[in-house]
Amino acid sequence: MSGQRVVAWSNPWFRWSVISFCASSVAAILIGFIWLPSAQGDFSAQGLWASICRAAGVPARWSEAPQATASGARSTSVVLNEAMAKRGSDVAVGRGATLA
Amino acid sequence: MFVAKRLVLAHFWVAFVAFAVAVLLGEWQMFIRSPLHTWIDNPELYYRSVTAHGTVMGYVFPTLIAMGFGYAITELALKRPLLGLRWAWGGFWMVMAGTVMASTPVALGRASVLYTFYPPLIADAFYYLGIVLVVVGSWVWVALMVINLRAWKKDNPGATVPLVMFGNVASAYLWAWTSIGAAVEIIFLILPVALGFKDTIDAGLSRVFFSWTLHAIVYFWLMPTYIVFYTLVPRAIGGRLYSDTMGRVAFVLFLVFSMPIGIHHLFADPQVGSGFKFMHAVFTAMVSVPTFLTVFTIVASAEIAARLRGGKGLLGWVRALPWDNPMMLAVTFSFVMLGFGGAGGLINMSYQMNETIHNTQWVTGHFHLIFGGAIVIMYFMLAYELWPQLTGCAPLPQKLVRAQLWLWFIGMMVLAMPWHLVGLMGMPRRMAYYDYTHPAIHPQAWTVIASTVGGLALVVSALLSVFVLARGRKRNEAPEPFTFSVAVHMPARVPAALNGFGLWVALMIALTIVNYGFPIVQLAMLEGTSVPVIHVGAPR
Repeated sequence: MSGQRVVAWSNPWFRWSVISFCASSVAAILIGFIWLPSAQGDFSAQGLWASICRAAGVPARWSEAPQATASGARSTSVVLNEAMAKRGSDVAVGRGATLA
Repeated sequence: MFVAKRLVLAHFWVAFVAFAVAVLLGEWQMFIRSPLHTWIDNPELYYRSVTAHGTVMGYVFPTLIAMGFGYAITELALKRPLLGLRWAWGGFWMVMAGTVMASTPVALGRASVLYTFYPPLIADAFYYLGIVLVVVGSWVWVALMVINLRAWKKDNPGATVPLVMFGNVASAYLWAWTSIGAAVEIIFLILPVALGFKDTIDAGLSRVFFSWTLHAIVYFWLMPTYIVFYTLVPRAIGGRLYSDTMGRVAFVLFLVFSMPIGIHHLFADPQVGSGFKFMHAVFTAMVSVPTFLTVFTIVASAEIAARLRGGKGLLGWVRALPWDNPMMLAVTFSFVMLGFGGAGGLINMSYQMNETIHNTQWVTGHFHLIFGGAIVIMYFMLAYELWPQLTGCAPLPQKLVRAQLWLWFIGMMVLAMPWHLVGLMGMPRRMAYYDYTHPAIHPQAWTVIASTVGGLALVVSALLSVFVLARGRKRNEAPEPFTFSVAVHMPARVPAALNGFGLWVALMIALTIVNYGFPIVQLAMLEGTSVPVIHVGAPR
């Protein structure tokens, strides 16, 4: 085995591994967060930073149009809880089926 | 071998018996949803079976094979007794206890969440605790592989680590880092809910953590197979390994690239940004590099074997290969299935093409061809190769072994190819039954029957493999010394970077941070993302 130090810039395995890692990561980031979103109108409509944030999955409003809930009205006040996921009794299911 | 024979045998026996049971369950699933059977009365039984099949095939079987093979490699390659034998038995019994603990609620119908967990479905807490025990037991193996290699290096300063041990320890590091995603998901997100402390769960974050494990686990399954390719196949077919260095490069590339790519399983998930999905697609493509290197190296090694047997010509040497040798058959079958499965995988990892096959039977066909086909067929071979060392038996009956391999290959192709076809037609996966009277589904019915027939061949083959192993009888003579493949040109000096793991583990962690760091932190900090859980099998 070679007695060469692994973590040393003079070691070509270390040098090229780090360069390849950085180059492939930066290229993937540039393509995935800047180039590809620039081809989509809804991604790039609000500028570069908004486009990057959208590609990163940061929640954002996708439209300048006024939101339906902007007036403070809530779309729903229903609260889901675990009990709702449970199956009803057979009698209740039967009644529902009859009504349906 | 020195002290680990019984240990390795215990791992292999439990692995293969569990595997045979899981194959039977798989065939039952195929049968009851085919037109050969009426609709199952209770679809929960189907999902119960899928959960057991997946849990055994995904966690128990390959983990025990990797562990047992790893212990055998440590003694055979380093030529010294395994350090930490008691710890190794401790790890084995933890895996056993975990398997029983996880399979009991599955059998009782209280954990039909499939092996991928799928929050907000929540199973009985014992299911998750059992999986945690299996993983912790395997971490004992990880630690022992690292400790044994370090001790050997200390006693042999400057010596080159044998390629087989290098691959084995690469696999251990890969598994240690890979399993952290599912471990974090279970311990911090699922168990608090399963134990009743919470009744909501952040399903999106859970899925991201599981994706951390979900794809890289395939490479943990794959590593024993690649170790067999490089270190047993060339010797077994009478040739030499084309390049020792290529093997080391392939192992370290798997270590770096296999981990941070799991978000390609979440292309349809809205909680992850498209930029990260693209990055994971890019690095998934990079995993094909060590695979292509391996196929090239092993085909070159086979050519060396053929030319040593008198093979001539550009392609005429293929005829001179030892086609009656089970290892030659197995590696050929494995490469054919790896080729089809790998080509399908390129479609799965493509951000755009994935849309056409997402959640269809194509995906089931893909991972059966890769894992059940290309990988498991080499698990058979590593067990057959090691059996005389472990049991003192004569070499196993070649005719039976060949028949078993042929059956496995044909069965897997007949099982998985119709799945690919019908997946393209849009048949969804994870369905307990299909309405074959529907005019749109009726033309697909034959594919399910074909897969059922393929599954039957797999059942026969799996039982035959257990029969072959059980039939190995002890003889009075000592087995011949076990050897690994020798390279055509052993490098005079292996580069220091390819004789250790520091650089590659650092790159693996760095790439994980680049690819997973932001999505995990962002999702963990988002509020209002939890949803009510659904307890599976809970009393109603």
